[in-house]
Amino acid sequence: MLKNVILIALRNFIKDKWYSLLNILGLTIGITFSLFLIFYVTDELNYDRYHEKADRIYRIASYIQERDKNTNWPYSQLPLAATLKKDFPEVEESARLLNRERTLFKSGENSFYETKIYYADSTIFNIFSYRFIEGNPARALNEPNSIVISKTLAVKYFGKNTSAVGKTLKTVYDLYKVTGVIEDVPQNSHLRFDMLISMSTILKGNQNGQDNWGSFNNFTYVLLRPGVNVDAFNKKMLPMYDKYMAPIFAKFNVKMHYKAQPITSIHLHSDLQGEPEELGSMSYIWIFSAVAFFMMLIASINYMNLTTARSARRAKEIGIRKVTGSSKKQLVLQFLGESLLTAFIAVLISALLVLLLLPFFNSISGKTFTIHTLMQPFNTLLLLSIGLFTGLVGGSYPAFYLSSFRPVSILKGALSTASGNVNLRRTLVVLQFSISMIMLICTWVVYAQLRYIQKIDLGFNQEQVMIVTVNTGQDERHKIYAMNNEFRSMPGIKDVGTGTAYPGSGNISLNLFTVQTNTGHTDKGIECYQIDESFLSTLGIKIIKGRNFSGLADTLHSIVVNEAMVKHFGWDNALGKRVTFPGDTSGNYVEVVGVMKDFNQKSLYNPIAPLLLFYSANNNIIELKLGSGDIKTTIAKAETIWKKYFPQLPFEYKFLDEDFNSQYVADQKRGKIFAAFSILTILITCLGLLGLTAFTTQQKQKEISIRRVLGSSTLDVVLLITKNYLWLALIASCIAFPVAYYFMHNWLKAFPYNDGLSVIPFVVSALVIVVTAVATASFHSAKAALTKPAVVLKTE
Amino acid sequence: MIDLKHINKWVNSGGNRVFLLRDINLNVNEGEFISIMGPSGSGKSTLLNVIGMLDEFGEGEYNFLGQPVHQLKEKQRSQLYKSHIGFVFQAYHLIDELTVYENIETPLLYQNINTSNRRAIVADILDRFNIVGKKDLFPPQLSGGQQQLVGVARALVAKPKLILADEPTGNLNSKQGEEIMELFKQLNSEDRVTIIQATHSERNAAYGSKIINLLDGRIEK
Repeated sequence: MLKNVILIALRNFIKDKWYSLLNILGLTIGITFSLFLIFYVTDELNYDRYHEKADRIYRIASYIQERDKNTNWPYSQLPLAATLKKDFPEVEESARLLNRERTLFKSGENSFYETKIYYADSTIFNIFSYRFIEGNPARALNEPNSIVISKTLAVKYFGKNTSAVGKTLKTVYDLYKVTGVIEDVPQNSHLRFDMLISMSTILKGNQNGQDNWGSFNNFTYVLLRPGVNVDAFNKKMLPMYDKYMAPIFAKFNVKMHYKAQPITSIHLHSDLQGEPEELGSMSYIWIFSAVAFFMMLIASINYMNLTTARSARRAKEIGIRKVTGSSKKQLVLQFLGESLLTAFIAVLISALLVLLLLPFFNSISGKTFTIHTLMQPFNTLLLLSIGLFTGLVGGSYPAFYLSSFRPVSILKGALSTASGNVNLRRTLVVLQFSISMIMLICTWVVYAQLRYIQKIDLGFNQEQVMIVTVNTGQDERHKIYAMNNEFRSMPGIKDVGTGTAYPGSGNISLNLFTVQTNTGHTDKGIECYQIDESFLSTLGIKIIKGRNFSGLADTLHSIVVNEAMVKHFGWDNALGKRVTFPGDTSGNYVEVVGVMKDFNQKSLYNPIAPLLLFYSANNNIIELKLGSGDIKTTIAKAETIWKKYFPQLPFEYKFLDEDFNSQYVADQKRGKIFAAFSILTILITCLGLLGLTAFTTQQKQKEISIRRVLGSSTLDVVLLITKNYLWLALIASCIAFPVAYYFMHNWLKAFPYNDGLSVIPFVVSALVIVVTAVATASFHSAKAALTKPAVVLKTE
Repeated sequence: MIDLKHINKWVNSGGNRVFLLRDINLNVNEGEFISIMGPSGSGKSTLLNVIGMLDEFGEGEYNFLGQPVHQLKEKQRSQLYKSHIGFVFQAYHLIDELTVYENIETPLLYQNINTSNRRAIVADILDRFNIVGKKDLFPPQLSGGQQQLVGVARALVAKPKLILADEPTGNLNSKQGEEIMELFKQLNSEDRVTIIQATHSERNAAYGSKIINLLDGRIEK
């Protein structure tokens, strides 16, 4: 029985080669790319779950409330970790991580800048499960100047096949002993590092940080005991404010509380500012899941449509089988079996394709999947269930439909009318059109918005600005002055400015100030950094009132503010307004000397906030405005000058426009994924249409031939067939437009700067679908119309 | 064996009842060879389909081997015809994608007969019909007569008590037709298989032991 069924499946398969290939191709594309999306989604959902105790690990976040502003931070204070462990029995272990700035490390001839460095308490390994290749986690970070490095770094500095433990790494000032090598921190972690340095390295003999409840710089992690209720724990932490922080904050009217954040929820759910790594987004998880599901659905619908449309060909077989004694159940099983066979062939090809296309997918998604990470029992199970899903969904309707044919009517020759349920097929096609249209519209809007924010006037000139950072101590800062003067004399450089930050850079501080208003004073946290007198001109930021900084005399006396700040405080005349540091009773103040035109300090996801700039000479971030001329020679020349002053530091540079736009990388990546998938969806839909029209025109061949005999033209015939699809596309637009509008309207809300929704994406997307549908349909109908009527009518 | 009492069958066409079968009374005993004759549209095929349980009827009683068919459920009915009736069609109705051997084997597959038994039964019948050499060919590779031979072999393979043949020679030339008729006659006399055939041809009808004439759905006395 089984043999008979498989035989007939295979023979049918070979007999209708094109049809089978079409079916398998559609399914394969659908499955392959759904798989990629599923991998993406599961990877996002599994962030930080690799720690053995993941469900008990929490990060303590700080929620700070000022009078008119809330700041929610993943950072907390240095004393917190030890205090929590001491005061709360719920806390089994606690540890701190403190970010260290970019540092140059050396081992013999090898020297590299490292950016992912944290100081860590030795208890960190009791909480997280980082796998040690060498060294002992219990002791690794006990001593000052101990360092634990990732496997990649171990190879980078010390080479393969040599033990790194016991070796030393040098910085300009210090010496570190490698006490452990761990496997690289997995990509799906909310915090990644290449090096951990023992906390005692910076806190030795300098205990002042230990009791400072006023500054928020480090991450605090706790391991709660099993069964601890987090809400209760959060509540229990509330009184800590009165006990430790009120003495510092109460006089400024600042309140705060802590909240324990499960680490597994950070990547997708954290709404804190200043996360150490790029976050994911739950909405994309939903979107991608939906896209994966729809792709698979569309592919299954194709299969369903093609198989039922083609049912006439199998009708005779069904009739005979029924007459010779097959039950309906046996026939259902036979057809389901065939569709499962097709589905599993497609699954098999897809699995191979996935492996083949992996590098490509990694490059657009930013993931680092390898064959190794994908070879998991879960994924095998996934493949099986996808095979079952598509096989059953795609095969169920044809199976039940075909097997319910009445043998008499089939065998009596009513075959040609057994064309399947036309209305169902139309509904399915409308569904496919709608999905394709929605995806097309969304892709378009996303791309248009991303282009829009890149073209928007940011208020500063981002082109041809090169940024170099001098990582050195205060004692060498005077060299910067001399070096900049040499830069200025270079023909390829127009202007040179320095600052402690620049537009798009993360490292600006939010400080509390007492600000003079029209009527009195008010306290407010304001973003601020320091610049020199050339900073604004280098970036083309205009002063619209007052003056720019003029030099050293402005230090600690003058500030420049932006329009947003003037507006925020409602100043009638901004110039001369005074700002003091809260709690400073010395009577010192700084005074507004200039108002600059608003510019986007942060990405366009954020509206422009009040900004306050201090004067400081010789800051360590240098902006070089390049002139015309060959950029390469300019860079080479700049490097020789740099080497003269800082021979021990490598010359590294970036460009302001690229750096600023890198803030949109996440959206661009997702945009690319989305675009790729909407094109694929349309492709699959077209494949389905191609097959479907082939069969419907075949069925209408007699009608077409008779019409031809009666004198209709080829065009008339093509119109006759394609007209139907036009209608379907029209109905699909009615469904797709509101849905796409709803989603895109909500998506655009995240951007304070948006282009709004225009009609064009909607109209064009609908047109694209109509044109592709009509083109696909015409292909076959034209072929049918061109066949000589005599040939057809003779065989009828 | 077959007992039809007052069978009526009709379809509704534009508010009118069009009778396909009208008050059919028919008694067929085991071992009979009956030819049903009549012009096109007289109801021959409909009557065969009713007897073969492939089609429903509107009124009347039908007893097959003592079982009241008119009271049976679909499943029981198909169980009944599956084990007792073999069908032969004018257009042969072989499955084009299966070989001669596999086509003949198909009815056995639906009767839970194990592989070695099946092989023996099919080999037997191939031998008897002299088509052993053709067993691996597909139907389109055979002539019409050979295809019908396979059709008859398939109808017989499950050892039915009754064979229903709807114009079995309609697509064949006279020589091929004669061969099939001879075969039927032989089956009837030697194997005691009951045969009911519908036919246009007087000559073929003469092979039967009894001729029933149909006109407009009625049996002509």
